[in-house]
Amino acid sequence: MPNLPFLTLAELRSGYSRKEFQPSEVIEAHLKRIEALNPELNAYLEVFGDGARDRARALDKKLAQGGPLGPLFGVPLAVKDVLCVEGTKTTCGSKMLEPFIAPYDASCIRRLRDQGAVFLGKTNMDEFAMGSSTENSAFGPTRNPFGLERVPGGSSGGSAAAVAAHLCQAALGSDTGGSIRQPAAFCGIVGLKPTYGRVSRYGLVAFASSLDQIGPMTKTSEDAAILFWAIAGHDPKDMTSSTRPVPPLEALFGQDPRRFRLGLPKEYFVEGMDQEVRDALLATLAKLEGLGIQVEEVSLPHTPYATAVYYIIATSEASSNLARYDGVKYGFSAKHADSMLELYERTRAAGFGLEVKRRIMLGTYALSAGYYEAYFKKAAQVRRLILEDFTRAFEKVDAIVSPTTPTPPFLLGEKIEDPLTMYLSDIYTNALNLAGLPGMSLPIARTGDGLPVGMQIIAPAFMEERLFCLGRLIEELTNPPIQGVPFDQPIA
Amino acid sequence: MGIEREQVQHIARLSRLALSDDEITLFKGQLARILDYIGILEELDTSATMPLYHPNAEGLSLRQDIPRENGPAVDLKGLAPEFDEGHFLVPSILETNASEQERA
Repeated sequence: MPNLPFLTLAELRSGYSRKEFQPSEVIEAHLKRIEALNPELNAYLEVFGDGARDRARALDKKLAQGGPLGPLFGVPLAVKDVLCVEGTKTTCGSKMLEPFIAPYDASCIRRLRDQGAVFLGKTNMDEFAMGSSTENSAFGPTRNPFGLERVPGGSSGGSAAAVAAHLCQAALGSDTGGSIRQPAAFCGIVGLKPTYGRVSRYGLVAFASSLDQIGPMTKTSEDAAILFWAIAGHDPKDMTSSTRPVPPLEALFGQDPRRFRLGLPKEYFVEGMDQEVRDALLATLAKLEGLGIQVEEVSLPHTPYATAVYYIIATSEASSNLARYDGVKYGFSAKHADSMLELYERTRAAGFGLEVKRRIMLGTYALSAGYYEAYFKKAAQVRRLILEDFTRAFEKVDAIVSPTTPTPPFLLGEKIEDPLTMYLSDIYTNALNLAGLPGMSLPIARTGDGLPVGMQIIAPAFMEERLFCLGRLIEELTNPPIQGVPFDQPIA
Repeated sequence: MGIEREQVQHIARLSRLALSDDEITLFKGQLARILDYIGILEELDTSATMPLYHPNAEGLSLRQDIPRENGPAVDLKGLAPEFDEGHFLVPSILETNASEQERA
């Protein structure tokens, strides 16, 4: 019997179809690993032990009956705690939602359930997805499997650590400014932010509605394509979801990346990029050039403004979205308030953590009378210039490549006291959310200290297949595939 | 760009956040630094640029207005902090005569 938690989705599917093992064995192997390793990592906030076992036994019967198996059949998944899974807690890493039980499934959860996936539990995150280290969780930080004294990135840090330590086969995250790609890079896994509108946001707790997108976090590019394909497509419950048809799964690998022209943005090579990160990217590009792929310099001249634009728009939308937490309808509520105003103010003061309060304050300021034009409107104008930069670059190249993060994973506590420095760890990722473009991070190397380095590939809107095709080629070049190290030992 | 303590208190009121004195002091410094950083946008002339509020080029896809069955009703009572006979319970919003007299 293979070591079940270490399989890819494709290997799992072929094992099921040859009846080498059944879903309950796969689920049990994962639950055992979670029990042994999660206390150290704090990747999961809640584990659906019995629920997952019941579901797996039902799938065992289905497998025994025979018939075609979809690519998600019996796949154990972890879910970032920002997505609603009916009948279970959805805390968003916040005290504010600690008592909240989701009354329905998010649309992506419903789709995966219908295709036979098994949910193992909910993963830790920065509160309301605000952060880049998972240190802003009200339920303690998650640790990086590559170095327990380091952050896993954020905000989807629990999902990233769970995939890297093989505590699930794959996971769902959400990405508003890099919250899938940055933790994927820090934990040595693959993370995809799809095109805005490609995946329904129904059932995703809103942070910044014009930026948020749900996406897969997996061990390989192929797995990312499978999970992406399973959740993509129009949903009448989300009016921002696109009506474009989703290509068949095979078509997601149908292009020859050796014909691609790749663009390297000159503005990304600035002070602050770690030397090892830079070397790893350039070495990978040299290997691609060795295969005949053309790499050329492109210019994204408004890059230096993206982080400022991002923090105005994201916080403005957040201040509006988070106005719903009033202590009346659901979630935490302050006791013994004498007036409505006091109820609101005390509920929000006690329910939200510091980073969430800081962002609500900044967003409220940017939207307030006298400042709206100078901040929010100005940021929206520069947002268009950022989109136009990408549009021009994609007239010359098929995809753009960059590091995912300027540095390898930093230490717990290193940046938490300094919000601006923390914000700057998203400099290569947040422009894509502003422009609505798809981007994928994949591991390309390790530093001298054994820490993962990620590379980001950016494609034009709705061209995710370019990311998967190029990603698979890069994985062949960086052979053997780079996966979790300190936690890659089987549990006895 | 500096920011006054009173301004921080004003934003906190608009945000419906009862901040402690320590939080106001902390945010005063941090918001000033962040606003300084954001000031970089003033370098750009955007007088001829249309704002982009949403990256969805296709526009929004609205549902046809066709009546249909709703899903099962959400159990509001189970979710609400305080709920009784079909109502959310909140502190009184109308002042009673007694409380008016107390104030007077």
